[in-house]
Amino acid sequence: MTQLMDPPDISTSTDAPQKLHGIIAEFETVNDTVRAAKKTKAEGFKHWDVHSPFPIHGIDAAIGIRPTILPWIVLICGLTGTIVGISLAVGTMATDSIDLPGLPGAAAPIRGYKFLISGKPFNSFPAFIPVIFETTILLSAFGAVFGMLLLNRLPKLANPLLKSMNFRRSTADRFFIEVEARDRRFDKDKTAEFLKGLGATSVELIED
Amino acid sequence: MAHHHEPVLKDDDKRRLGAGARSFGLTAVVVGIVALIVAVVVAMIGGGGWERFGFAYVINYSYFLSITLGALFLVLVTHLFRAGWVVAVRRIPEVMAANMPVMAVLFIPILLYIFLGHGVLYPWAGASVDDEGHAYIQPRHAEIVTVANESDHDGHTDDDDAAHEDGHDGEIGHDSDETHESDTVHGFTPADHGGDVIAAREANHEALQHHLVPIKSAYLNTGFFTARWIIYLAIWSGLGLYYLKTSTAQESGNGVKLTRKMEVLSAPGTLVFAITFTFAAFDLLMSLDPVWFSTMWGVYHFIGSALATVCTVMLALMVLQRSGYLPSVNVEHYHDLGKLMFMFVFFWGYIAFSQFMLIWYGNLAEETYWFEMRGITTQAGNPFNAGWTVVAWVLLFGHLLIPFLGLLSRWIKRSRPLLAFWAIWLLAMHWINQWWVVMPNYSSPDIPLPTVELLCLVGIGGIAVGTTVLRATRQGLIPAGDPRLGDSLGHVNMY
Repeated sequence: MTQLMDPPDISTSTDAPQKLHGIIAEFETVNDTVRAAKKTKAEGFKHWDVHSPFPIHGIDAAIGIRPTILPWIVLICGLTGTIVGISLAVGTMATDSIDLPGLPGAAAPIRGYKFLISGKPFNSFPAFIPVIFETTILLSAFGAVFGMLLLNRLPKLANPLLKSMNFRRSTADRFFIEVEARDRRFDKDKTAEFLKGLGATSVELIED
Repeated sequence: MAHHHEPVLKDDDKRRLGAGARSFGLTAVVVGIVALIVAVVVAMIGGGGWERFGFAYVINYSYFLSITLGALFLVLVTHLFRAGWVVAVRRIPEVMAANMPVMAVLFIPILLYIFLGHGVLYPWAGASVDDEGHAYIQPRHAEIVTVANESDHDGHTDDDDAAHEDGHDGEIGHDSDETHESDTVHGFTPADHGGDVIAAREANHEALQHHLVPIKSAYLNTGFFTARWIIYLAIWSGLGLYYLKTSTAQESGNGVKLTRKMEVLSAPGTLVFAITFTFAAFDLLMSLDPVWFSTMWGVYHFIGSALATVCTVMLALMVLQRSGYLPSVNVEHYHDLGKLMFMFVFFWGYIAFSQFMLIWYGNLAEETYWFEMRGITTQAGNPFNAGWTVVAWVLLFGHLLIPFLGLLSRWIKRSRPLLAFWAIWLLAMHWINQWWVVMPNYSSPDIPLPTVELLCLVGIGGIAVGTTVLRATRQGLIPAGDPRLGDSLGHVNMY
């Protein structure tokens, strides 16, 4: 392997004993990786992942990734947006006053504007639909983006895997299976042996 | 492709439709022709005559034309985007689009209405030029007016339908006597107070027609209309036949080169399609009422068209697969068609609402009455707030809100029985939409029982579906020579 830039030497920067993060196993081909992933899944590991330079068809099934709950987050955010939009439009355009005694600073009732627009009734639902539509879309989009970040625990400023020199090839020409130490079935030696047995070209311990 | 084995076609994928399909196609055509004849007879006996038949014909012609054109759009746009997934199912829309010449023949009755109908169907087609050189509209059916007048004298009670039509004559009286006479024989004299409102709308509409039709006569005249439709039908037929022919020719080699050719043509093809489709929608459906105008008309009908086509393609695939054809088409292809279906459902609502909201906000008399006649009015006691209002609500919920929720989830788009249900549902909604768009020009606020309309549905449907099936028997059901077929067969939806 050609020499890449050395990773910053953070492993020795503290005196405290290093906690084990997990084990990565390196594979050379897609087929080896998919086969190994299926066996890892069959072994019963829960906290593990596959790293690949490009999307692999069928890898989701091989890893056994369960459907994400993100759609539900988006749905709830979208419905919230609908309610916000209706309240905003009706509250400002078609209400005399809203009395909110419970809220601090709302001693005086909030007054609706009741603008007369082209002679339409104040409570004109067709005119409100664009507002309701936009708030629904806005909050759905927020729900999708921020929900995705939350579920992926992003932004993450550092990942222990990046300490591995070898792991950098996961963005170029190598495939890795990572088993995390927090997995209940994880055992430093046995898991390393298991991964080697799957045909890994190298197995490496990663410390936090 | 991450798959190490390129998926290959099974033998059954290449199987052609056999004698069963041919006899089905022929039967459908015969049933269609018989149904059209029955429709004419029912229209003549049950009241409404040629005028009623004309409206029923336009509803159903536009319905099946929209499905044929949607198929052409699907072929064009997937070539434009170089879509890999669609290849395995593309032969279905190709065959449907190649049926365009039959749709061109089915346009002839509408031309007859233009030339011989004295404006019973298209009021502008009855326009003449007066002594000062201004175009004006002839009384739509002066004969019926006279007959009704005579029977009134005889103390004869007309049946409801005939009385109804009378209210529809676009008579513009230059002569004050004539105006007076036509007012007295107007069918719109219900006993309730709504009669005044309806009569006022009629008078308003006649005044608008009198003002606007001469202005529009440079565009809306028989000669230019015919010329435009010859161009549209020639372009659509040419494109439809070209894509089916070229896609079939790929099977004898040169697949990559021919795909390139089809892709290159798809860009100008899409552009020409968009322009011709928009103007065809203006001509065929909007000009039924030469007063009203909406610039969103083309998009509105284009979406209905694309949606109905996706539903039809899906149902055709399911029917074929039940008989053992196309075994390689799998849930991934249905999922993608389902996504398109979902998108068009929402897009339809978006455009339909936008069209309504702009007219509602603008509040111009020459635009708003169109929705009023179709039952969308908030005025209490408005006589138009009747039958068509129910249909408008059915469209809001049935064409938008219910299918939107019903198609939202991923698993639904991957379930064939549910997709079949929604495809049938939406095809029905598309028909109701065409009916709701066209029929109030014939009768509003009352809805005539859709007998002639449904007979024409069977009639034109039988001919259109039958000839499409006959065309489908002439080649394989899968574009076996397309270089992206492997991609399509191994296609996987990540999301």
